[in-house]
Amino acid sequence: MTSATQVAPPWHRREDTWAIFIALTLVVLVTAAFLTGSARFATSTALTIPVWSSDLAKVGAALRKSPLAAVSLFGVFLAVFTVAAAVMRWDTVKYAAGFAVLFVFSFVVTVLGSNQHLKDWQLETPLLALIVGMLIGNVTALPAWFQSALRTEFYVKTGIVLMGATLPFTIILQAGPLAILQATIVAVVTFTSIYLAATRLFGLDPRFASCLGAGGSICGVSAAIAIGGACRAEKEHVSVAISLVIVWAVAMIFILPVWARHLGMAAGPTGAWIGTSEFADAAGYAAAAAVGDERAIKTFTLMKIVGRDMFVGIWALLVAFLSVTVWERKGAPQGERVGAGEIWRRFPKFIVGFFVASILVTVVVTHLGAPGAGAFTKEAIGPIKTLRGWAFTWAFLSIGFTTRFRELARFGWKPLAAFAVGVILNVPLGYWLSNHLFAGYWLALG
Amino acid sequence: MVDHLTRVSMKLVEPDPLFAELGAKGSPTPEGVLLAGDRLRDRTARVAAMMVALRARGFTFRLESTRVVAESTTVGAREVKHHLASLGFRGDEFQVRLEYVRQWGVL
Repeated sequence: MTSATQVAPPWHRREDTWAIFIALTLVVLVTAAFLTGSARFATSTALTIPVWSSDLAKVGAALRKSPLAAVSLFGVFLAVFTVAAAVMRWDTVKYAAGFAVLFVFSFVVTVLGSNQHLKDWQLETPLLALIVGMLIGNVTALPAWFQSALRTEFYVKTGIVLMGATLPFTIILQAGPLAILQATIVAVVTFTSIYLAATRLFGLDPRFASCLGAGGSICGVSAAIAIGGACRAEKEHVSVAISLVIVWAVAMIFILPVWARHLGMAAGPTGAWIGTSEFADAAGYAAAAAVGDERAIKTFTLMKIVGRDMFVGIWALLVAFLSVTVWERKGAPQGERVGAGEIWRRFPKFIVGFFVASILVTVVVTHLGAPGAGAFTKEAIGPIKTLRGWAFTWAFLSIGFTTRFRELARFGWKPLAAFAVGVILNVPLGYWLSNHLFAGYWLALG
Repeated sequence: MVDHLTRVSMKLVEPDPLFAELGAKGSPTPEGVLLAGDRLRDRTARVAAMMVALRARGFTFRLESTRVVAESTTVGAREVKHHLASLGFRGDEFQVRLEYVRQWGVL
């Protein structure tokens, strides 16, 4: 049984807090290193593997050129993650041992993901990490000490805050309203279609239908959990919604980039489509990264983080209100109170770190002016992108290692069918909005 | 796949009605203060009765400002709500919150 304190830790023992702190500290250090003329500090820690084709000589040469880069990268992240683990009361020895093995896996996968032939097949590092993790995780029993380092959410949140530093705040302000509009259109249509299909066609409980609708329309697993809590859905309902989100999200990682390529879509609209039609942040990043163009990651981030994730609290408030006043059929005097505080309580706090990172870097770039900004982009933003890539690689390995297909297959056909109705509407609608109605906008952002 | 935490929040003091009553006749009176005390006693007695019912279900308690918060990781939100209602407690005497947290490793 999980104790209450484990379920709801105080702010200083939450993953969001540590993800924000670690990522912002890295951004500040890299920026300070650039401003003090010590950019080498950042570039030597942000290990990059060059693209190679048939022999590994190029990779070997790059590693010989910066012999301490891998050690430095490992050392920095081991230190900060282990401190965070200690405060969050994880078993630090097991965590550190597990992270060391995870790092080795990530190194091997990144070398493989830098192969040109695999890139041509859209098998970028995130996808390879996912595949390797799933293969190993589903055919072998992983030791408990290793499993303790598979902290998917922690790595994803760290990566997302770092992602904020790579996206100028001016672009967020410029594209944010459109991203919110597109995301809202798709979210409302998808949520409503899943909800109606679940309740009217398949006779499922409205709370269950809300969990399914939220999982398919707002922000995947996080939304299913937030909405499940807000409307007091059964534990089983939330678990089934999570299973369906994971199954579809993993399928979409492979389907969307291949489909976009087949349709000849440009990178900007492809990222926006993925941001609209993928269910989970990590899965969406993997799909956007598989496009092999930073512009796809940029538009994906705008659509998913700014357009969708931010609004989970508002959805939770609406569903909580519906739950109390309609599903439980009670008027305000007899019923329980649903406060607006619900919005902040459900708000994914790491998004604050994402915005702070973006604002910080934008202020620095503005202060530097045009000539300095070019150097800053190369010597500071470049390493931050690399660190972001490593954080996501650990996340994808963790997802792969912890995804058990046998466990995910435990849902009935009714929720599956209701969810599928949403997917059938969501994907073409997201395509039409991204590649036709708002295509000019997403293309211009690239 | 998920853990849950059910929270029942019970206010010890409902300040607005009490103080509105106290000042209703222009200025506070000793009788008004005694009346407020009676109401406070009634309110705390109701909260204590809810706590007894919740303790029997394995809830643990903590004080948060002027509220007693009961927590359980085993009893469901709807279950506790029906239980308290069946014992005669009104919906506006308590607030049930349900939190789900993914078990680590889940996407």
